[in-house]
Formats: sequence, structure tokens, C-alpha cells
Amino acid sequence: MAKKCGIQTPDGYFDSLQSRLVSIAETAPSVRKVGFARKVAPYFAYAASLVAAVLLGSFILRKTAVPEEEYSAWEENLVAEVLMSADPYALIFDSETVNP
Amino acid sequence: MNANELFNRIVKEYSERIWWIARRFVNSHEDADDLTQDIFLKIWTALPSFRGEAQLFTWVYRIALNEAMDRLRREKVRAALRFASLDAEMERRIDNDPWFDGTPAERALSKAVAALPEKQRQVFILRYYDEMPYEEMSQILDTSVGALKASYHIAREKVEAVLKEEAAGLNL
Repeated sequence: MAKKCGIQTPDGYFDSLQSRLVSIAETAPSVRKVGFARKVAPYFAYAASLVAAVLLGSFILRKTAVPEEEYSAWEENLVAEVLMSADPYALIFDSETVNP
Repeated sequence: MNANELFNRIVKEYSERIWWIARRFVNSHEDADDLTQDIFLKIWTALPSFRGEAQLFTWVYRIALNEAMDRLRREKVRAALRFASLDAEMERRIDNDPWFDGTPAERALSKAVAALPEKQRQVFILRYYDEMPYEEMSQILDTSVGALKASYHIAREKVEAVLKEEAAGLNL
């Protein structure tokens, strides 16, 4: 038994202490061991949700992307002419100046 | 034996001893009561992980000491936030303890023990107050018997020095 060295306790204290401690088993929830699968399950869930977010995002982007406009043949020629006239080298190196 | 039966057995065999250990660390009847309940709550929740690889006694005491040390560390932080010291707080508790009915030397002994560094305090409390054999202490604290004996020797010298100073002060 421990040396008391001047410390006292109330009468019947240890009997009441034991009763209170025993009631811990009745009131506190028991803790069950968590298996390995349950431990890693959250990480799989995070990875799966990340993949799902990426796939959903890609799908939405594809569906909502504005399609490139299709030019008619006339519009394409017009664009080509505009580009040619805007090109300074085209003014210098056209067929009339190269082959006078 | 199921968990409930094992827990009841632990309470019956160890509650009083654990309470005295807690009492020596926190120097207050109410805090010792509180700490003891925390210790046994920890024991209850940790029971599923006890596979019998250590002796029950070693396992229980290890939990008790860890909880006591954790509590003291938290109290030290709280004291620091109030710009106070835990040593001063412990001295105050020992001086004002309504459940202390001993001699001035015993009171001085409690104060001297409270002022020891953590490891020496553990060893001193287990060896002097609990009269625990070094071999058992070695298993609980995971320290060699030689190191424990050295710790106890140093702690004892410090405590004796404080008690001599106290006695000299009283004699003047």
C-alpha cells in the first residue's frame, strides 16, 4: 500500500470511487478496433471524388464549348484576300513586281 | 473474460493505487479524483487494443503515468498563460490542502517532490511513495534498472537538500 505521508481521504471514499469508475463501462461508448479497410476507405473516397470531378468537368466543358465557326467558300476567299493585302511582303513580292 | 469483466477487475485491483499516484502528481484531492476518472476512461477505451503482450499491471500504470504527465503539461501551459508558474501553483495547493494532516516535514517533502523534473518525479513517486520494485518500474517506464536507480538517487539527493534547508530555516 502506498505511503500516505499525511494525506487523508474521506470515509468510504475508495468504495464510492470504485462504483463511479465501474459505471464508466456502462456509460462510455466502447471503442471498436478499426480495420485496415475502414482506415483507408476515406482516401479511396477522396480519390474517387477527385476523378469524378475531373470527368464531370471535362464533360461539361466539351458540351458547353462554342464550336468554331464554319466559313463559306466565299468568306474564305475574302479572308485570304484581306490577309494578303495586310501582308506588307505581299505588296513587295506580288507577281507583277517579281516578274515585271 | 469479456471487456466489462476485465475492466471491473482492473478497477477493483488498481483504482486505489492509481488514485494515490494521481494524488502525488496533482497535489489536490479533487484533481486526483478527476484525473483518476480520466485514467480509467482511457483504460476503458484502450481495452480493445490490449492483447496481453504486456502485463496488465504495466499497461495500466503506463496509461496512468501518461495521463498524469499530459495533465501536468496542460496545467503548465494554462499557468504560463496567466503569467504564473506551475511550481508556484503546486506549492499553493500543498499549503492549502484541506486533506493534509501531516507534519511540516511531510509537507516540505511534497513540495520538494513537486519541484523535481518530470522523469525524476515519476521515479521518486513510484519508488518512494508506491514502493515499487525497480524491475516493475523498468517495464512501465521502458528504462533500464540502472538508469532508474541513478534517477532515484539524484532525485533523493535533491529532496534531501531541500528538506535540510527547510529544517535549517525552522531551527534559526
